[in-house]
This record gives sequence, structure tokens and C-alpha cells, in this order.
Amino acid sequence: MTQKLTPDESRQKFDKIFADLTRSLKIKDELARFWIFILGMFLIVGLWGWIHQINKGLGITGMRDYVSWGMYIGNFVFFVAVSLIGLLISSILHLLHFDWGKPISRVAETVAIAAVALAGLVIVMDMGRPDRFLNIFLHGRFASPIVWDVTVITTYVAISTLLFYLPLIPDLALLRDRLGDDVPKIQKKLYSVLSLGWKGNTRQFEIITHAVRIMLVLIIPVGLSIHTVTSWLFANTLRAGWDSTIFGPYFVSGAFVAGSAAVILVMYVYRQRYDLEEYFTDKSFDWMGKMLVLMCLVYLYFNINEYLVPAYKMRAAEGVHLRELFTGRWSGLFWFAQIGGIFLPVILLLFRYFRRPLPITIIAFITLVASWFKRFIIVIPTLEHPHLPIQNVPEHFVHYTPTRPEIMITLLPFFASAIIITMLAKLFPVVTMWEYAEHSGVDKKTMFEDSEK
Amino acid sequence: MKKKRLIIALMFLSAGFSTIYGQEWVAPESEAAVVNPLPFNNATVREGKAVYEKNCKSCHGDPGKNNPIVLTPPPPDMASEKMLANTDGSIFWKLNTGRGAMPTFKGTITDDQMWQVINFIRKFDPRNAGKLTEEALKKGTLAATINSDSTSLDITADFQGAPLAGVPVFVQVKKAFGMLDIGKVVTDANGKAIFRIPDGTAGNAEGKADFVLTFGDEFEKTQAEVQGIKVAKPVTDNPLARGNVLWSTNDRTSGWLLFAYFFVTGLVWLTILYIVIQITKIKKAGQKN
Ligand code: HEC
Repeated sequence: MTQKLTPDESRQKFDKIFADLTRSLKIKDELARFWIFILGMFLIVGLWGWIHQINKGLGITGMRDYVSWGMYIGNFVFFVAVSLIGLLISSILHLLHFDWGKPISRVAETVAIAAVALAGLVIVMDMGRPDRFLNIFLHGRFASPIVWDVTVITTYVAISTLLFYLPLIPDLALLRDRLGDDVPKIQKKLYSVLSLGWKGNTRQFEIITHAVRIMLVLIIPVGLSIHTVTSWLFANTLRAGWDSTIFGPYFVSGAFVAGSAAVILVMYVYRQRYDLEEYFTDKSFDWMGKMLVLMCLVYLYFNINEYLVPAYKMRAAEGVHLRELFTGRWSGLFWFAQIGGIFLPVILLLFRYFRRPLPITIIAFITLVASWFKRFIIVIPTLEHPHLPIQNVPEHFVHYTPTRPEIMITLLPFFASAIIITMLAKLFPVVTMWEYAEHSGVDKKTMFEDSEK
Repeated sequence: MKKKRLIIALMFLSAGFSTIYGQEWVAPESEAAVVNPLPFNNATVREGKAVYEKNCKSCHGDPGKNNPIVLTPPPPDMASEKMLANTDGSIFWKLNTGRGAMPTFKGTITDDQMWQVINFIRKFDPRNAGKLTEEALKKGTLAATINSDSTSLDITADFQGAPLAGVPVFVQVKKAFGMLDIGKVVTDANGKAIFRIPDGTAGNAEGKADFVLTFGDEFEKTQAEVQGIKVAKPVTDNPLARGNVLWSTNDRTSGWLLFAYFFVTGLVWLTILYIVIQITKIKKAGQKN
């Protein structure tokens, strides 16, 4: 809390905060429509590809007997990774009392929800017979990491949603009571239902604080396990490049890198589009930059372990795999992923100049793209070198090349997540208003004056 | 002049592309003219069927049923006009070259086997109707006993008491998921044969195995079973039956794993339930004052 404000100052200040943070709800210009239109078009193209795939089967993809986990699984790991940022920013920073993380925590939760929801969808898209999806619940084997993964992702969706919703309840009440006729009736109705008759009394705040605190603790083990279990899908096999004991922390640290990059991107867009320079300040970007460096360094450390130890031993299969990555067929992508995803952010973001909003956003974008290719590099090259190769298979069974419909289907979740993020920003303030206001010295009583009546 | 050459070159190029990407796959004329050195008869067709089932069926499916696997372009059915339009020589050439998903079989199967499978394909050609004599299936009985030290099977093949000489007998052993071929013997002049059980043949936990003997295709289905033979090597450590195997079935999953899964999942979801209850309390707290 900065300084004590008089009730009048308080009221003025809060009016401004409210006006700023509800701008995203009211904006309805050409650009917004165009954006949704573009996303919608791509979404339709992707859906069309998916329908094509359901009709014809997975034969239309580049996946064959050797590489049976292609871009879809790489995409899946990517989305699970990005979703982990909710855990890092809203929980860990919060519990460690890093106050600069507070205005960002809703951004982080938004990204987390969009990413984890789509991770679930990507898995269904990887199924030749999505109609059999329910079988995993009906006949799943509890010894299978796939069942654990489905369990933990479902749980994470629930927790992220709750963690998005709980701090939102007071905001919803504010929207219900203070928003004029700028938004459609039905939207106000939604706020009124979701705000659960919030009055802003002490008891209600107690309940919220209590519930949020429990969730902030609960999301840590669940968040860590969501990506650890995903890594076990690989590590619990005996394949070269996957058979590793550090896959859990390796994936988790990589996830923090990808997630931070995604959050920086979304922050920048909100800041520019909704004029929120005071909320997503230069300082927040600076902090995010420092955090990204830290995360990259941790990730670098795991990368060194993951590659150096097997590279020292060069056991037969591992050797083939590593040579393919370092100097062989996959070296281009591999070095792009390593340099763009680790070295570039570490080196550039050490300089204050690059931690300013625009440069860091550009760097974050490159890092995010590199992180996607990193997942690709983890999934595919291993599959091209089975311990027991099949004889006399055609060349394109051995080497994986994604097909066009497959690429369309892989892009679909990106557009879908952009739509989810856009929709959430159009429905709810992108920063927790009451928390931010409280932090800037506005009294809770003043905020909910209208609600108590 | 130059332009003309360019056009001709382009025409050749596009012709090349259309043979690769279009549906047509044409053998060079000289290759297509090569004649099948094998006679078209029951014996070669039968051999060809065996080659087909082992090497081709997985992609091309059952002849006449049009059930190939999904590939682009799809593997044509053996009884289709498209397939039968090929000369023997052109099929032979295609088996040797391969294209796209169709692998080359050069070096995988012998030339003889290629011609045999070609004869098998020819069987579906309507023009060949009636060319193969319907042979009546032979009849016979098989019996077998195990010798005293359980190392070989003594096999007798006869038809109503008369020994069947020179007849192949196939030996299989029962495994968890079906039958495993372990060998073939041919009966002698007295209709007898001795089959040595290979070393290392695995039995069940008590070291026992079940053997099944059959005649080949030219016989009516006849088989003899020799059950519960004590073979040298008992299998006590069947990895599939072990409890803690990766991705195992639920009743074989180890207790600690099940406990860990349900305990952790239960705990987390109970907490989530608790939070949901808290949320309902918010409403109540609002109504109080
Ligand atoms: C891996 C799957 C696969 C296997 C195994 C396979 N084929 Fe094929 N076959 C194909 C495909 C796919 C085509 C279509 C190729 C094309 O048109 O480019 C084809 C085409 C053919 C053709 C050419 C048909 C035409 O267009 O004139 C012949 C003949 C043929 N296969 C015979 C065989 C025989 C005989 C075997 C077994 C010895 C066999 N195939 C095994 C996939 C397979």
C-alpha cells in the first residue's frame, strides 16, 4: 500500500482505474471485428482439415509406423508447457510476495486457461477415432501415464478456472453495479449471475482470501505434475533421447520459459490496444525480462545435463540420436530452438535496453517460436530411430514430413487460443481491479459503496 | 528453335510428373513383355498364395474384397481391372522397382516367389476361369506321440490304415496369443516322421507345452494335438504376467501405484470440492446483511 488517500481522492482514483480497465470491454471498432474475422477464418480452415482427417483417417497426416507421434504431440507438449505460467506467476510470485506479479496474474491465468483447454483439444485431434475418447475414462489402465495425464490435465483445467474465477468475483460485482449501458443486457445478466450476490462485506472477503490461498498452494503440486506427467509419457519408455531421469524438471523449466514469453506477448498487446501503460508498466516488462533470463538459465542448466551426459557416453542408440541433432538432419531446427529459445533471451535480456516493452516482446516472440520447435525436436527425431527398425519400408515411413492438412490442424489451436484470450479480455477486465485499487491505496469500502446498497 | 526444345523438355518433364503423381504407373515396354517362366498351375498358385499372405496382404487386403489400408495412392485390389491390366512382366517389374508406398521386393523375395505371386494374382483374371483344375482335397489322419525323453515327436500319417508317404506335416506350438510355427517335416515311405523339438522351446510355468500338427492346404482340415508335453525349459518368469509391468492391465497393476494414483487424485478433488463449497458460501454471506 502506497499512501492513505482521502475518501474523495480515493473515489476519483478508483473511477479512473475502473474506466481504464473496462476499456477492453467496451471497445468495438473495425480492428476488433477484423481480428475476430481473421481468427475465425483460420479456425474454419483448421476445422475443415480436421473434418477431412476424421473422414479419411490419420493416413492424411505424415505420421507413419515409425513416427507415430508427429506435430500434434509436439503441439500438445507446447500447450501444456505454456499453461504452466499460471502456476508460476499467479502462485509462486504471489506466495513469495513479489508484488510486481500481481497485475499480471490475471494475464497469466488467461494464458493458462486458453493453453490447457487447447492442450486437451490437441490430444483429441491426434486421435484417429475421437469418438472413442471416452474409452480412456471407461477402460483406462491406471498403470498408464496417459491416464495420469488425462487426469492431471482435467484437474488443472478445474484449478485454473477456479483461480481465474475467485479473484474475479468482486470485479464482476463492480461491473454489475457500475457499468452503464455500454454493454449488452445479456452480458450484464452474466455478471450479475456470476458475481454471486457480492456485497463486499468482510465475511465475503474472508472467504475469497481463504479460498484463493488454498488454491494458490494446491496449484503448485498439480501444476508441477501436469508437466512432469507429460514428460513421463516420454521418459517412461526406453527410447534414445527420452529415456532420461531429469525429464520432469527439464520440461517444467522449459515450460516456464515458453509461458513467460507468451505472457509478455499478451501483456504487450493489452498495453498497446487498451492503453494500459500504467498497469503493464515498463517496470513490469523489466521484471518479466529478468525472470525470463532466470528461467532460461535454469533451462540451460537442464539442457546441459540432458545433452552432455549422454553425449559423453555416446551409447549406440543415443549416439545416433545426438549426432542427428547436433550435426545431422535435424541440426538446423535443433540449433534454432536452442539459440532462439535459450541463448538469445539470456544474452539480450541482460541489457536493460532490451527489457523495454517493444524489444522484449520481439524477443519473447522468437523465444516462443523456438520453444515450439524445441518440442518438435524432442518428439520427432527419437521416433525416427527405433531400436528395432522395420525392414523394407518406404522412405517416407522412415522420415517424417508433415502434410498440409496436418499443418492446418496444428495451427488451429493457436487461433482458437487467440480467440479465447480475446473473448476473455472482452468479457472481463485484464487486471484484477479491486486488488490493483487496493494496492494503490483505495479503500475497499469506497470500492463497493454501490454494492452495499 | 530454342523455344521448341524448351517446350519439348517441358512436355517430357510434365509427363514425368504425371507418371509419378498421377494414377498411372506404367512399366517400360521391354519389361512388360517379359514372360512368366513358371507354368500356371495349382502348385505355383498355391505357393504364390503363401507369398501373398506373408508380403502383400497387409497393404493390398483380401483379393476381391477391396479392403486395402489407407494410403495415397491406394494399393489396388488384386482382383481389380487395374491390377489385372498389367502383364506378368509389368507386375514383375513393379515388384522390382516399387513406387511411393509400394516397396520394392527386390532382395526381399526371390524371383521365383515373384512369379509365383504373379500366378496367384492371375487366378483372379476372368480369362483364366477354368484353367485351374479343381483338385479334390486329399484326406488323411495324423497322430503323434512323444518319445521317451521328450525331445521329439513321432508322427504317423495315414489314410484308412494306408501310410501317406512324402507328405509335409507342419508343427506349431500354442503360445499365449495364438500358434507359433516351429517347423515342418516330410513323412517317409512308411508314413512316419520324427520331429525334433527345438531346444529352447518355451513351456508354461510347469515346463509343459501343447503342440499342434497339420497337413498342408491340399488336405482337408486335419490336425492332431499333443498336449502337455514336458519340454526342457519351464517359463516361470513370464514378463507379461508380472505385476508391475509398464502399461499393464488394471488387475495386474501394483498396489502402490493404484494407491498413489487414487490417494493423490482423491485429495486434490476433495480440496476442489471444498473450494466450490466456499464459493456457495459467498452467496450466503451476501444475503445476511
Ligand atoms: C507397404 C504397403 C504395400 C505392400 C506390402 C505391397 N504393396 Fe503393392 N502397392 C502398394 C501401393 C501404395 C501401391 C500403389 C502405388 C502407386 O500407384 O504409386 C501398390 C501398387 C502395386 C502394384 C501396381 C498396381 C498398378 O497400379 O498397376 C502391384 C502390381 C503391386 N502393388 C503388387 C504387390 C505385391 C505382389 C506385393 C507383395 C509382394 C505388394 N504389392 C506389397 C502398397 C503395398
